[in-house]
Amino acid sequence: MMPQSNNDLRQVRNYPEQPPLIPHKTDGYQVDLRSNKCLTCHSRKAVGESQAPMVSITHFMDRDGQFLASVSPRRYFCNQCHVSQHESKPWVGNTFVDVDTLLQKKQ
Amino acid sequence: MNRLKNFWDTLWRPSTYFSLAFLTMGGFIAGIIFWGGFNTAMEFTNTEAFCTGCHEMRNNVYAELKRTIHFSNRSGVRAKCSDCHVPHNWIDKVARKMQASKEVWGKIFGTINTREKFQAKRLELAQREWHRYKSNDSLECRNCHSEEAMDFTRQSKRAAEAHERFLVSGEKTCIDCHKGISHELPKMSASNSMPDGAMASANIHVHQLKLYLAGTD
Repeated sequence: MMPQSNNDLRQVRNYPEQPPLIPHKTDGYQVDLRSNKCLTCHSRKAVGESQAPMVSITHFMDRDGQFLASVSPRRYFCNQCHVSQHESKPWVGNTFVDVDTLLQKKQ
Repeated sequence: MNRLKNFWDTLWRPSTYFSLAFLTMGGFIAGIIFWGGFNTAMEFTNTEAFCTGCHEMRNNVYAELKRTIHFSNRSGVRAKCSDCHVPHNWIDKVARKMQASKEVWGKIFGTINTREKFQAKRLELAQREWHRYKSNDSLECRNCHSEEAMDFTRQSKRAAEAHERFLVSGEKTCIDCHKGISHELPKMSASNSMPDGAMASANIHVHQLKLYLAGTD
């Protein structure tokens, strides 16, 4: 397998709701009950030092719409939605186009 | 008691049969053998085979190390247990070895002889090592990773910036940011976290998280 991309360049989202891709390596990042490696840079308090983007405030909200003091348990496991990328050629093609392209085509 | 006294007297009387040359040479050779033997024995306690001889090490920390870059990587250089956990120079090494005799006690009385006991004690053990690294300016890291030899232009942008800001300025030492690279992290909470409190905002209550995982949120 190709190594994970590590160029720190943010990728364009394919649709507005897409969880942002991770533009750096996350090999061996521990995210479990004991510890969350991602939050050592992306938590609210850490961004001053790390200059990393802060975890979105939506992640502080529990399912009843209440904002908690920090990341809500249901949003704690970062790599359920956010993933690093590999520079590899896809084996299967697809015809996905984003919504802007689709609207243009219609006109 | 009397025999002890006789022996003591014999020790301090000049030798009757052996020449001075024999005694000095003999002492010299014996010295080499004992010194060599001592060091060889001490070196043996630095081997991976010795460290992983106990299941406490083999099944916990060593198993975790195997998944990390310090065990397996593109250039095939491996850091073994003693590279990070035993100082290289002699006096510090002997001092560390004497401290480590407490681990023998732990082994005999089974302080961490199950995974659960180990997990419960993990924070305390980790903090001891972090403290040691913090107070010797991450010496064991620097035995291999020299700041002078580090070419920031070959690092990722993010890493280079962080090293320039925190490492070069001396504001932080390796262990401040690189905790948990060779073994899993213990349960961190606000008070005992990363020194700058970065981990503090990760202070999700484990109980809450467990409830969520159990689907009873």
